[in-house]
Amino acid sequence: MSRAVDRTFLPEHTSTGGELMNTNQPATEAGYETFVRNPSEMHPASDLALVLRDLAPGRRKYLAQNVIAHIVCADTRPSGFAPLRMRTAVGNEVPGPWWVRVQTVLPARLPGAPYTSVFDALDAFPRD
Amino acid sequence: MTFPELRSFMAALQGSGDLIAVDGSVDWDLELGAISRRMGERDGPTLWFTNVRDYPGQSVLANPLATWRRTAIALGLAPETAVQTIHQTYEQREAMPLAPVEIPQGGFQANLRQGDQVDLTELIAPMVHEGDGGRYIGTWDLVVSRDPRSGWTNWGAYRFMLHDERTLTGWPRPTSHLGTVLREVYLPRHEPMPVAIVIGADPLSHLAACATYAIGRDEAALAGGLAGVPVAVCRAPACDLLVPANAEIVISGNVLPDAIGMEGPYGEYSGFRTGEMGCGVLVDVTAIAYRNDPVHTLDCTGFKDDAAIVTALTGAVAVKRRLERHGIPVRDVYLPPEGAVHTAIVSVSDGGPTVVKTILDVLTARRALLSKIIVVDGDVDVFAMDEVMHAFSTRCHPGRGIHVASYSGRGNGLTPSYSPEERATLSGATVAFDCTWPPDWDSATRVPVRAAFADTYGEELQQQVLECWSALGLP
Repeated sequence: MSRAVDRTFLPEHTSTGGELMNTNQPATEAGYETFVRNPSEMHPASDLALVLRDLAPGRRKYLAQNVIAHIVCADTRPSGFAPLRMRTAVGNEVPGPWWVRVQTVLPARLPGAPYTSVFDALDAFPRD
Repeated sequence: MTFPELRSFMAALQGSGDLIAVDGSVDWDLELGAISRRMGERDGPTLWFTNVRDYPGQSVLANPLATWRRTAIALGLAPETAVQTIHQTYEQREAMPLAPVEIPQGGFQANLRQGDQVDLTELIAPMVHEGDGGRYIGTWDLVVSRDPRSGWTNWGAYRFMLHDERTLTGWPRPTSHLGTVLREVYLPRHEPMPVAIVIGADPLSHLAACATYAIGRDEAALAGGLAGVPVAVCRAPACDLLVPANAEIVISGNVLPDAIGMEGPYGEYSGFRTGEMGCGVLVDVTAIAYRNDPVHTLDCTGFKDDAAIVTALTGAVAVKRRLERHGIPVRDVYLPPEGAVHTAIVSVSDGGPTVVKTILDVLTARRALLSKIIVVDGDVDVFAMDEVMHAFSTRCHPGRGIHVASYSGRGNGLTPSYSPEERATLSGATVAFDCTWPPDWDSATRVPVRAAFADTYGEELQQQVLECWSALGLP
């Protein structure tokens, strides 16, 4: 699909034209995003089971990875860690800055029946 | 004239001034959603994004039926058709379903990806709202599934999000028709549930998929009835479900009985992101197929979205029919778009507490998705919100006129005023506001007389005023 959009089915061509300002370009290294149920329990810790969304630009942005990870809240970036944007269940950002280091990648599909909790399924994975 | 496919509908919208093509480069990552959201909140035209970043050759049509004008056009009516007439038209055509006809193939079969070839990122899936849990490809969609016990095919509109290249996660409500068949049939059998997610079909097929339509009834036949011609259907890729042949995109897959993935949160039709996440279903995608230059359809959900019009329209007619079946002297029902399918206004020819309590019982007996019901007398035009607000403010007794039904297991898991615990257990309540005069009030001596032009002056004087109106220089 490399051609321009077909518009021959419209009786006439009218458009807004012009280029829109794209304000969503990442200014720094993209990192990851995660959603948590209870931010107050997200004290810096290792062996946390999380769903990370990759924020690297492009067609694969926001795809998910289930992981066991180590997270840190610190002003400066620890060695080996990537930026992490943490959000609450209603999508608000949890003040940071947060950093994450993936320890283990879990299966993309978690065991469980429909309508059961992903968080419970994540918590069931054994930790080192 | 109704429309055999999306593109001819788009042409009609452009002709009436209800579509604008946006040819400037727009990012699928939030920018497209932000523009669409703002336009929706301004009751503006639908936007056709023809230059979407990362996706040359594809386009997105946002909020196709999010105004009464566009819904009227979809039904083959004039754009300025009155809302009440749109309701009456839907009600008449809903009663005359036409079974679909199967044809060998559809245009979406021009491009087919199966098995290892499947990569969902090949298709535009916008990041709709900042803070959503992911990119939603299924918003203005039509999801086909089947009850293997009866062979009944269900069309519904359910949200689906990209999890990875071959996996979608979604949240068809557990009490939805798809959710009900999944829980009652496929899960006990430990069998995957085949689904076909259709994007960009003709507008009335999508409207039918959104319709409040009893379980076991055929939404494909409803779509045919609304259009006045049967919908042509053909096999979805890599499965035997029948989908509208005019679809722009079809995604086939299976809801797995033993696997889950993160889904949500998502800014929903209620106008809020209420925090439900990680409790849905997972779809193993087996095939995708799409027309050349596919047009994606997006319901950029939130205040005044597509659901606010079409779910409200079909829901109002469904409520009316249900109340009629229970002997309620109902005249009209309206779910105002501003009420986000949470508020119904019901007019009755005879009111009073017994009638209002029965309405409340009937509308909360099964799925209780409405949380406010305003019952007015038949002299109130339910489609005129100024009249409704006046009746609510003046006729509803603040003590005796309020009736509440509480329930669990059948409430609306997306109602923002509910606590997270209530939403998780589908618990909640519905309040009915009785804005009718008590039946034991004598109309001659006790029912207050409205101080309105049409009520408080005699016919002769009214006619005299109307005749001299212009002569007096009045606008």
